[in-house]
Formats: sequence, structure tokens, C-alpha cells
Amino acid sequence: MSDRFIQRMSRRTVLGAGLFLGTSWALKSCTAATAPSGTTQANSSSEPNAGGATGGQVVTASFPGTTENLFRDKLAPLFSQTGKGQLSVVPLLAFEQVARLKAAPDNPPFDVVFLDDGQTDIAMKAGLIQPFPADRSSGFSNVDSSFLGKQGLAPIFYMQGVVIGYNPERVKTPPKAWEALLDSNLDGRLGLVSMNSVLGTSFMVEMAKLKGGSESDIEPAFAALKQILSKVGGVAANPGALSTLFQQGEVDVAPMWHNDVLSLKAKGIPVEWVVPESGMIAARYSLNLVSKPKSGVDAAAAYVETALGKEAQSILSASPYYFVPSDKTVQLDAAITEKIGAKTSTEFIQKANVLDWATINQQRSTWIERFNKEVKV
Amino acid sequence: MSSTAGLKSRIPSLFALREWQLTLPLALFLGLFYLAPLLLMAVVSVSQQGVSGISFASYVQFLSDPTNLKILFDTIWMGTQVTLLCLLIGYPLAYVYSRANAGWQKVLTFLILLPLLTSAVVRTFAWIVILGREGIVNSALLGLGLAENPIRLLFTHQGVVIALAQVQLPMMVLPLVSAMTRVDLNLEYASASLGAGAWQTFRKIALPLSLPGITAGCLLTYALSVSSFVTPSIIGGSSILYMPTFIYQQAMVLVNWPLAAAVSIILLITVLTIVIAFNSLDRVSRRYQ
Repeated sequence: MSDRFIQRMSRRTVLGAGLFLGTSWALKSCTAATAPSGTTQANSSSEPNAGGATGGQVVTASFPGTTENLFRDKLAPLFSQTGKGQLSVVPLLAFEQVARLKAAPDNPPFDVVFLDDGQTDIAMKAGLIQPFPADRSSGFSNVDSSFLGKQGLAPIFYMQGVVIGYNPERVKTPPKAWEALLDSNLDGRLGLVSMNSVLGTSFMVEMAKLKGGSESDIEPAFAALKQILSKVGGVAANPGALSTLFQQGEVDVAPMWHNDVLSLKAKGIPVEWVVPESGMIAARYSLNLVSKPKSGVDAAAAYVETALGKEAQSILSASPYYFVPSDKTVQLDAAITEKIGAKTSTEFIQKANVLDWATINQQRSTWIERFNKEVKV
Repeated sequence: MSSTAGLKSRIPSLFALREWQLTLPLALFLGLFYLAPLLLMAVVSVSQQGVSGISFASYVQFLSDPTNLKILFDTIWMGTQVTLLCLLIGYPLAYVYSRANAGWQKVLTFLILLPLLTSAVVRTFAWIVILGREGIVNSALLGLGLAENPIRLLFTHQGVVIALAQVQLPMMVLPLVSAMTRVDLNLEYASASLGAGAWQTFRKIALPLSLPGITAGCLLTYALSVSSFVTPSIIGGSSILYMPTFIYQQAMVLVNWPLAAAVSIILLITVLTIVIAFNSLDRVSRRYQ
């Protein structure tokens, strides 16, 4: 019997069977990779926003660096304690998250995205994210009404302010306003960040506004930039790289995130910061559920709920993160209060300029391309 | 008994694959994960967002912009410089290796392979410390009185070339070592005994016989240099653009996939052209074998 069976086996049969088994295995692996172990696979029923069952692994996107550390070290254990799942963190910049969602909208690589106002607007219009089930949340009550998400999206998670950071050992006359960065007498090398980042774009738009431009007219900022190119010590690819340049003594003065300056200062790097006379620029970030979360809406929403909870929000403000949480009842770190004079998120936002990202988005791609071509240091 | 003998005779014929059939798994793998995505990319490159049908608009857009052409030229020039620098440093090293005794060869092997044991990202960050205003190079120049002010190395084309040459050096040295150790030293002894000087022996014996290593090393170094992303991004910063960074920006930041795909195809064609040129050189070198 067995002999007859082997005799019937041709080389073609063996290769065919091998190919079939290999393909099946590969396809199975692909499915397993998108539905991590312990996760009930998302429901691909006719309900587009339904997602699947709760529990399992929630994959969240995060910015690389400090935010990634925060998500891994603090949010993941907090979420695990709720018993509603485990957290897996994918570090990506905001535009990278949106690009990956656009590449695979029906099979998103993460369940929750972490985006600034501008990219949130793009993701919302492209139908990549969905409203947050606010009726299941208790964290909403502590969020200032101005931080509640547009069109039912999740509220703001945290904020950052763009300030002027400088090295007090090299810059003897501390700059007081954004215009000081254009001053040829400023004794320091200027550091900039590419307009790919919120920080870089915010600085350019603010500069344009000070020179008579607006969110829709950035021409004055490019004109001003041409005048100071000789003073630019380096253009970093992202804010994290800018901190490295500061640390290495490559640049002495730069528009920086307030919390990056505080983090550098805590490490003993000679750096100080001032809030410009015209006010700092605030950037806001939120965690939003993607349209078809593999972990299911319940688990993804539970994770966002954890991030909006009192404990997580208190951690955000403290060392070594120094972010501004959206929970209005959380007291900001003394280092922030001392410089900005704001004790809570509500006071912080009152003292800051919030840009119109819907208008900026209409031209941002063109600006990024232009910046990359024109800024040759 | 007869059926057992029949079975035994069938098993070898069932599994006796011809040699070329051994490449089937790799061919299948490359077909699925290399050729198919490449074809897909070619299709995307001739599409246009929101418009149906074939369009070469992305190619025209890239090739008609002088700034983009400069990015392409800078990339080719950077790859050429890195390759030449690696050859200049790597050739003597490989030459010394091929003539060293077994003990020294072990030490040299370790030194050549050592950089490969560290991530390119870590090595690139080390170059920030070396090339920075307060880095080792500038400190040495200022300390020795050779410069009055720190020279600018970071965020420059030259800085990228230097850092990338260190990162890619093993890719040049390994093929060179492989080619040189295969050369029969008796040929050189014969050349010397026939009255040729050291330079003439090197020019007429050692160099031609090491050409396969040179072409393989140059090919590897060049292809890896023009397609490298991390080192040019970190050492060059945002003010120096090369093709991989340009592709990344178009694909990930500006979400212009047709243009990103078109630029990728252009880069691929550029690299393939160089590969063909090196292959021609390799054919010339075989005449000496």
C-alpha cells in the first residue's frame, strides 16, 4: 500500500505539495503577524467601525524618543493593570503614521495613532480615524472643553510649547523675541529643524506672522530665512536630532520644545530658555482610534481612556517628561510654572498661540519641498 | 522483495534534483519578495494620483527640475567618492593581509570585521562626536595649531563621504582579500626573478589578478553608498539631500507615491548602469586569468 503510494508520487507532486504548504504557511504567518497572539481577530463584518472583541494586544503609534519611553515605561504598565490588554508601541513620526495608514487602510499596522492637530485633521478627512466612544469614558470630565476633539474624536492627550532655547555659556545676550534670531549681532549659531516637523513648521509660520504673513502666506518667513542662512549652524531632521546638536555644541540657539530644554537641563547640559515676547506657540497631540482597529474598539478605547486618566496625566507633567497634560486638575511641574506662569493646562493654553493647522495643511507639502530645496547651509 | 528493490530504485530518482533546481527556493523567494514589489513599484511610478491610465508625469516632473537633477548628480558623485576612498584605503590593507602570516591574518580579519559587528546607526552617531565642532578632529587641529577656528565637517558633503567610507569599508576589503589570497605568489617570484622591479611586478601581475576583487568591492560599495539612508541623513542633516532621503520624503512626508516610485526606478537604473559598466571591466580582467 505504502509502496504504491510512493510510486505514484512524482517530482511534480512533491514540488506542488511543497509550494502549497509553503504558501499556506506564509499566508498564515501574515495573518498571525497582524493579529498578535492573545488577540481575538478584528471583526471584518459590514460594520466599518465595529472592530473586534476586546482584550489582547493594542498596538499604539508613538513619537520616537521621550514619548516612546513614556508609552513603554509608564502607559504600558498602567494599561496592563486595567486587565483590558497589553500595549505594543511602534515609534513613528506623525506623518509616517498617516502614510502607513493610507498605505493599508483596511489592514492598519496599529490600533491607535498619536498625531498633532495638523495630521489629525488630515487623518480625519481621509477617514483613517474614528470618533472616540465618549460615553464609556470617565476621563472626559477633567479635560478642559477647549481640548475636546473635533467631530467626536478623542481629546488632546498632551501639549508642548515652542520656546527659544539657548546656551548661556555662549549666548551672552539672551534673546527675548523671535526676531532676535534674525539679528546678525546675536552671538550664537542658530539651529533649525526641517519643516517636516511640527516644531519646524510652527516656527516658520510664527515668523511669517511676525513679518506680516499668516498661516496661508509664509513668504515673509522664507525671505527672512534667506537673510540668516549664514548664521544657521545646522538643520536637524527632527526635534530629537536638534537636542543632539545642542548637546554636542553644534548649535547655541534654536526654537525648541519647552520640555526638550528641560530634559537637557536635567541632564546637566548648559541650556536655558525664554518664552518669546509674542508668546510661545502651542502644539497639541491626541491619541485616536484608527477606523478598523485589529484589537477592537473596546480595547483601543480602554487604552486611550488609561492615557486620559488621572494617574497617566500626572506622570506626563513630572520629570523627566515635562509635557502639559490636558487634565485641567493636574498641576504643572514647577519648572514650567516658573517660566510660563501657568499652573494648569487651561492657563498654559491661554498664554500660548495655537496655529490654524487646517489652513497650514493646504500648503504644507509645498512648503516642506521648498524648505528642503532652499535651506542649504 | 522485488517491490522493496523497486522502492529503493525510485527514491534516488525522486530526490535526485538537477543542480539548477537547487536554486528554486531562492528564485521563488526573490520572485515573491523582490521582483513582485519591484514590478508593483514600476506600475505605481507610471500612475498619477486621481487619474487613470499610464502617465510618465512623475518622471518628467523629476527630470525637468534642475534641483532634482542636482540631487541625482550629488548622489552619484557621493557614491563615486566613497568607492574611490574605500579602494584607496582598502587595497593596501587587503594587500598586506594577503601577504601576512596566519597569526596576523587572524588579527586583521578581526579588525576588518569589527565594524560590521556594530550597527551603522551607532557608528554614524560616533562620527557626530568625531566630526563635530568640539569633536576629535577639530580638537586635534586646534590643539596642534593647524587651524584657528573649528572647521565645518558635520552637515557637509565631505563629512558624509568620510563617515560613509568608514561604514562601507568592509564591503570593499572582503572581496579584495578574497581575490588577492587566491593569487599564486609564485607568479610574483617568477616576475622578480625575470628582472621586473617591485612596481612592475605589482602593475603587471598583482594588480591585474586582483581586478575581480576590485570590481566586486567597487560594485558593493557603490551600490550600498548611493542607497544608504541613515548615515547621509544624520551626518548631512536636513540641508543635504541625496536620492534615498528624497524618496523617503516623497513617500512618507508628502505621500506622493508615484513620484517616490519614479525616483526609486531612476536610482535603480543609475545603479544598474554602473553594475553593467563594472561587469564590462570584470570581463576585461578575466583576460588576465
